[in-house]
Amino acid sequence: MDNIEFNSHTSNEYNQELKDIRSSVLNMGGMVEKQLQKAMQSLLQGNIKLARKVIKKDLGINAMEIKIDEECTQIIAKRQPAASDLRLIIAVIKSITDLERIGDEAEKIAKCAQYLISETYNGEYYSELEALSTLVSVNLSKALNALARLDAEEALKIAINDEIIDTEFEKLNKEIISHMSSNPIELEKTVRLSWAAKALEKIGDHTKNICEYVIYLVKGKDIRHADLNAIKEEYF
Amino acid sequence: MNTQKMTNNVIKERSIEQILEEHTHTVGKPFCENPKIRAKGVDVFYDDNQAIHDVSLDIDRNEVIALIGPSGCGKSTFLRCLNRMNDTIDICRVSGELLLDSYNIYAKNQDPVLLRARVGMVFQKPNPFPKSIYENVAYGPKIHGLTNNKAELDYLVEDSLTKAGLFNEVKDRLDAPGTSLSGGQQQRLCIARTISIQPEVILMDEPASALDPIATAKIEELINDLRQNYTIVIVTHSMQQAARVSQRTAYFHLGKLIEVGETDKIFTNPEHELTERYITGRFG
Repeated sequence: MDNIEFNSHTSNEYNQELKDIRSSVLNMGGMVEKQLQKAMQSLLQGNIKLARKVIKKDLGINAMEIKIDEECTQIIAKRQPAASDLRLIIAVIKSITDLERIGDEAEKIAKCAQYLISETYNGEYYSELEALSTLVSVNLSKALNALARLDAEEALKIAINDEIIDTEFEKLNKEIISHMSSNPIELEKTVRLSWAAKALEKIGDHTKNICEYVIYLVKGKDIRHADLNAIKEEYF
Repeated sequence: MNTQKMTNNVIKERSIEQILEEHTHTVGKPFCENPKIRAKGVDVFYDDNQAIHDVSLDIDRNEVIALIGPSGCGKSTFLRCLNRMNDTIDICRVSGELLLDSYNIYAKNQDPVLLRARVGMVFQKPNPFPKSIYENVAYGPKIHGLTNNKAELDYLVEDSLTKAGLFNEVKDRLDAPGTSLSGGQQQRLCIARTISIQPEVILMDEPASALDPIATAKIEELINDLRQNYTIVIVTHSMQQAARVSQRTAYFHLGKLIEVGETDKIFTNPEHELTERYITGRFG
């Protein structure tokens, strides 16, 4: 059942409701992507105004989560969705929780940026952080594309890719920790740096979750907590 | 706008026909070990029109199996083969093998009346006899000679009404006409009447479609209780009902058995495209 069409129900209103929900999720995804990008930009460019904007904008993302949740509740109550429709609603409800948390992580990065800018940090490890954020952003963007196109194969690739992010994070974090011990005066600043790196790693995890929901939606298989390479062999 | 809609519909119809043409065998799990009823290569014709095409399906002991599908898909026709209710239609012809345990349902020496005592039926509209509540339930055991005296008959009537979840509501008015009860109560009376002759299988053809949600919930609860002692085959148009009451679901389309599987799977992740389309409301 890989060929899912959500616009062929007898009820056109139902088609429209499902279409609206899908576009709302993708909208929310787009907003979250921008938040991440701007939070990193504020940090790297020392733009405190932009950091504040990111923090403020997170409220909008929270509101969006509540709105989409409510729309899903209405669809469940009115339509009693089944099969791929049901999996879509479940995948949406779960995805928006992860998207909202990605928003929270972006906000954390912006708060770290605020602190580091106000403390005039010298920018050491910024390039490494930027490299990590690029990996994370690319993965997030690909995951949202996979969700839009209902591409389970791509979603699995992206989920497997999260390992690279984890490895890069560990590497960077080790360096930051050793910097902490050799420069205890800069401890508070480097802690913020470590927090920002951790936030990026978490965004990677949330992205992976979204990929798992895409696979559930398309293939009807719950692959959470499973060995992804084994899943690849079995289902793809 | 209208042209666009029409074009879409034509495309949809064609693709369903194509899917059906390509459909060669039932997907999922139509068979089980030691079934209560086994249907093998069953065809049903009304004159020259074939209503059922080569259906093979096992019905397991003490399971509730739901038969679903769009109107005219053959689910009721198939149900009616299981206790030879189709015999009452002159132009109807059934071929293939239908076994109850290892016993041929369509054997020439088979008495349909005795068969229907083993395979009881509950219909869409409650149809109590124009008799008292007591007599509605006592009638079957009397003609089949299931009891020896009045005390035994009284016990059987009470037991059947209790099993049908109706006894407490009617115990003070067993002499009142069956038709004086509410729709939901009448349907439970019909179920009590079916159980009273101690069948092995109960066939239900849309048993709750004429009832309100509370009466429906009571019938569904009852189906769940009855499963302990009986095998139940239910035809329903309500997908939610099929999902709630059955352990397995069989999907029929234009006389073909498309897919059979565990109900949990059918309603979350069906294998066949037609099943998916039907349960998600994609036929226009």
